[in-house]
Amino acid sequence: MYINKNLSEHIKGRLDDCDDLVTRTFPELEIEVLFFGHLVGEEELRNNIVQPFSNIKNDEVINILRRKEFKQEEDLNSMVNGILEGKALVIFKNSLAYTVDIYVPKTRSVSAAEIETVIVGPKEAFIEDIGTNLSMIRRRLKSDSLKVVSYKIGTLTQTKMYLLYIEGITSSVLVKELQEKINGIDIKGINDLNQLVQYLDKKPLSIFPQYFTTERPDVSTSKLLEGRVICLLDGSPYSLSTPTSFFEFFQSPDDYNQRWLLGTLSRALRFAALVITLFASAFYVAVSMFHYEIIPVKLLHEFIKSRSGVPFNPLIEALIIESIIELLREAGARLPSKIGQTIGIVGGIVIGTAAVEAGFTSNILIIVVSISAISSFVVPHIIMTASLRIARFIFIILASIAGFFGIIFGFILLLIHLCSLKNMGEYYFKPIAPLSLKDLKDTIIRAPYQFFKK
Amino acid sequence: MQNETFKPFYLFFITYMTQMGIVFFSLPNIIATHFGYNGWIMIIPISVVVLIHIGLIAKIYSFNKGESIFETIESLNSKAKMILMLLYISLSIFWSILAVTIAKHYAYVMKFLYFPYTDIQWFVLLTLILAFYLVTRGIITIVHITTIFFFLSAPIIFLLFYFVPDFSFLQFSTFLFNENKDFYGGIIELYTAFLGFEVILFMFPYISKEKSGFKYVFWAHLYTSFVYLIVTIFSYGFNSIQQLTRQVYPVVTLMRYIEFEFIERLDSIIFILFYLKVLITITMYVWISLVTLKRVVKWSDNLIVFVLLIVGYLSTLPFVTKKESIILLSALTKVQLFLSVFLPLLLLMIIFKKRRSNG
Repeated sequence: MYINKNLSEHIKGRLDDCDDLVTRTFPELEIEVLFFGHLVGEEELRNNIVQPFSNIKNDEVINILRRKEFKQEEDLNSMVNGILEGKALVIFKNSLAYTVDIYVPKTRSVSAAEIETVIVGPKEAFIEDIGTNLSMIRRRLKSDSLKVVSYKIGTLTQTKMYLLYIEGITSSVLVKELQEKINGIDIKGINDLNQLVQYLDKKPLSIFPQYFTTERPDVSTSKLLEGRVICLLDGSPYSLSTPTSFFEFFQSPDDYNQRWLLGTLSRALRFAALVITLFASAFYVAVSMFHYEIIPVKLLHEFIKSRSGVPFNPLIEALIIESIIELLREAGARLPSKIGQTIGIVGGIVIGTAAVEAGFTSNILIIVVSISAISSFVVPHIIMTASLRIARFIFIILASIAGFFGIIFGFILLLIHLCSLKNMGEYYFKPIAPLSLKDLKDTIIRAPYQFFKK
Repeated sequence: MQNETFKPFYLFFITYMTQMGIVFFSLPNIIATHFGYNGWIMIIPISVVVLIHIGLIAKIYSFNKGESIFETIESLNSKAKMILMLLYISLSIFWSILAVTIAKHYAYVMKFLYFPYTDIQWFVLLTLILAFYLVTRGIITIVHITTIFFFLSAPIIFLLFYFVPDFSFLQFSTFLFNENKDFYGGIIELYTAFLGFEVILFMFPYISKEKSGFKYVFWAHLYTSFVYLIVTIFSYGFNSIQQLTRQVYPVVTLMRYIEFEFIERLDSIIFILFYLKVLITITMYVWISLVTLKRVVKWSDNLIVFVLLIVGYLSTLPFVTKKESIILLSALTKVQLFLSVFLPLLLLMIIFKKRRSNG
């Protein structure tokens, strides 16, 4: 739509009742500037608008408007969108319009990662501003083959999104497939990358996260180097990477920054933790309901003694204690960090001890549940931890129905599900299924760098 | 549409896991009752015969060049379509009945050993749910799952080291095959213990074409023979022949002997880990009945598998006791033995006929 009369009125009509719209006029030059004061930087406004138009004559205006930071707009929509994106709209003689980008987002500064912490390695994490996030990746990857494609997500929020990949390493089929998926998203608005991920999910009913999200720029960079695609979303301190594998969620930058043997052993520890957190409570329920025979006689005495006063069957008992742990965890997550710790420790100790003394539960169960709760925190990614928690409850219930057979039934279902999941054409359970010995040395173990081949 | 293919090395896992079945637990008993003293020796000649049998399938594979065996059969005569359809349907139903019977047999053994108060129908239904879920995910997922199951269940073999201190050569005696009952019946029985490799016949189109891919089937068979042999030798060295003939599941008894600091009576865990192998055997038979029936009807995989499992389940319902299920299973495996010999021979005949007519 091209308008050459009363342009200012049209724009103001579109932005009617937007009291935060700022208008500055230079009447002697017939110039009117429109912008949202809270989106623009003061210094940028002074340098790009106020100073150039101060103390000049009428005939000099056209020269200033020819500068390259002034972009002529002919479409009313793009003028309004420009203002909404933090540009200043310069209207000359009420008929010509130019936008100048003076957007300065007001965000917090870069700080240390809070969820994915490491012992050795860089500390910084992504923040809410997409430009800063991109700069953190560009700073680490100074190559012209790093490509950035820009998108807008959400019909109302118009949230900026970047898709990053390295040309020559990432397969172009993958990039195209993801682009199609992103273009297929039709929503009003988006707040966070972790929401976007769920729109992209191929199997929305699965309990497992199908995209890997991280708040660490160093991890994102290494994903790029492995040939994956990275997405950044404005307003979200996360990046997603795809294709995703189940085993990615058990890796931490620490594995790579520390000596290989330590890296390998801590991975082994994490897989042990995975087994414990999934099966420990279910094992207890199965043993105390069906398979007493596997406990050695020496232990059996203590076991029966601790269970003798408990009025509930092992399933109810385990569910009560597991639910209490979940309550504590949820309360700890919502409260400010200082009170959160108190509630965790005091709540855990007081309720745990009191529950045993009151004869609610056996103390062996308290030990089992605590160990499985601690194990769940060993898994480095909080999203995967949540999935495993859900699976654990399913296993407990199955164990109460059919003992070890119930556990193995659930386990097989879980494995079939994991093996049939695919993410962007790649198997989720890679490199176990399909089995690739070559890739095992960087998933199950962390071999010395000399063993990796390009 | 081109089938998705898997690398030939997966054939090792598929063959081994399909061969190894519930019979493993009673194998020393079968051998002891049929062959008597030092009966374990019989595993070697029979394993060699099975090796030749697998060689037949390997020949077909090399002649077929990845073509499915259905195409080979159908290329013979296009007029006899009705007969072929009937044959496919009956074979398909037979295999699904066989699969359900194996599931039922495992459930009976499990009930007998660990869950005396549970109705076996629950176990059968749960197994069928798993088989349904697994088969409908497609052959690639089945192959992947089989590989994982192999690595989960294979380390059990190392538990045999536990018996080394109590192993006694005295138990072997110097007699050979004395006190045997039914020598020839024993050969058939032992031969059926190796069955399962014939499912490879149906996988030709799914194996990615690489040279000498079939050697993995031979390796798998040799590994199965090795496991059978070593477990039987240990059973013979650990029990007297009289003990072996009286225990129904000597391998379970053997495992009951194991005691660790925190866990004793490990047999229940091992027996249930063995479920992984049994499930793969069941899944493979359901899968071949699926691909067979797919030549006849154009339904979705889900529907075909569902119908087949229902048919299999209903047909085995009349067999209610453990004894009946054992009789049914042994009858079915004998038919399967016949099929596994007949089918490759038929295919080879067709192939030779085709070659001669093509010059």
